Amino acid sequence: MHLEYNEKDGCKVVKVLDRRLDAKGAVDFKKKMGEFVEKEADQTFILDISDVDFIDSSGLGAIVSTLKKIGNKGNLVITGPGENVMSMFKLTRMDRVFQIFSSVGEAINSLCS
Amino acid sequence: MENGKIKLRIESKTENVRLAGTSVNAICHMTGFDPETAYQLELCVVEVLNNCILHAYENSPEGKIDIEVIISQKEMTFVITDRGKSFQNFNELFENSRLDFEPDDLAGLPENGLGLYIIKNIMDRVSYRTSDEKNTMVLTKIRGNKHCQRALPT
Repeated sequence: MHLEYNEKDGCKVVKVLDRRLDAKGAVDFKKKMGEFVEKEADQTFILDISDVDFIDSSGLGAIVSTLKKIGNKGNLVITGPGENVMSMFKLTRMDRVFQIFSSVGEAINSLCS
Repeated sequence: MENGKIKLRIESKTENVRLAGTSVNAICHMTGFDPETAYQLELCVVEVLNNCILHAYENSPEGKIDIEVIISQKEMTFVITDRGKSFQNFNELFENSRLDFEPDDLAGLPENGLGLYIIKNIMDRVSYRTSDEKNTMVLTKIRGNKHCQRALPT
């Protein structure tokens, strides 16, 4: 699982570079995100999934796991889901759990500026 | 649209699930499903394949999984067969699969177990049987049904 880490305007931005967030990559995603959020406590994390065109329940579960790991210490928001990925969030009602923005810029304007 | 059948066989490895999934998506796309439905059908097949690897074959890479895609003007059917451990109480678990969490209850958010619920809400017909040491899951999507209008599993 390839992730790119950046900091913009006080927010930690993690971009998923792989096109698929599925069972094959979910374990590695969970591990890497877990290490990252543990290191960067009390922060707002922006997960940019604009390059992801397929997500399954394992991938979604790994994102949920990351949110739970952050807990009340911070926040994890989602940016850039395509139509297919968004349909998965809606189907599982995870669109009611996560704040979802159309872009990283929109998320930063809303949360971090 | 011509009727047809396509058969795939994969070894029980997660990297093969991607190959099978993208093949299913391409078949759905080429046979007239819109992109979102093609993704959802790929998703259902992938969820079944993931379950086969994790539960039927207990992560052994030496299992074989057959995927048969049956194409017709009216519907698309996926017949997925493994030769591993049978899915106990499938009908009961399938029928009872639901989302049972509150969005703001962090501790109660599900990290796994959403596969059956996803399949239940996308596919129009779902059945599972075990016979001659083979486990077969049959998923059917009726063309034009954007949202699941599932009959009870047979």
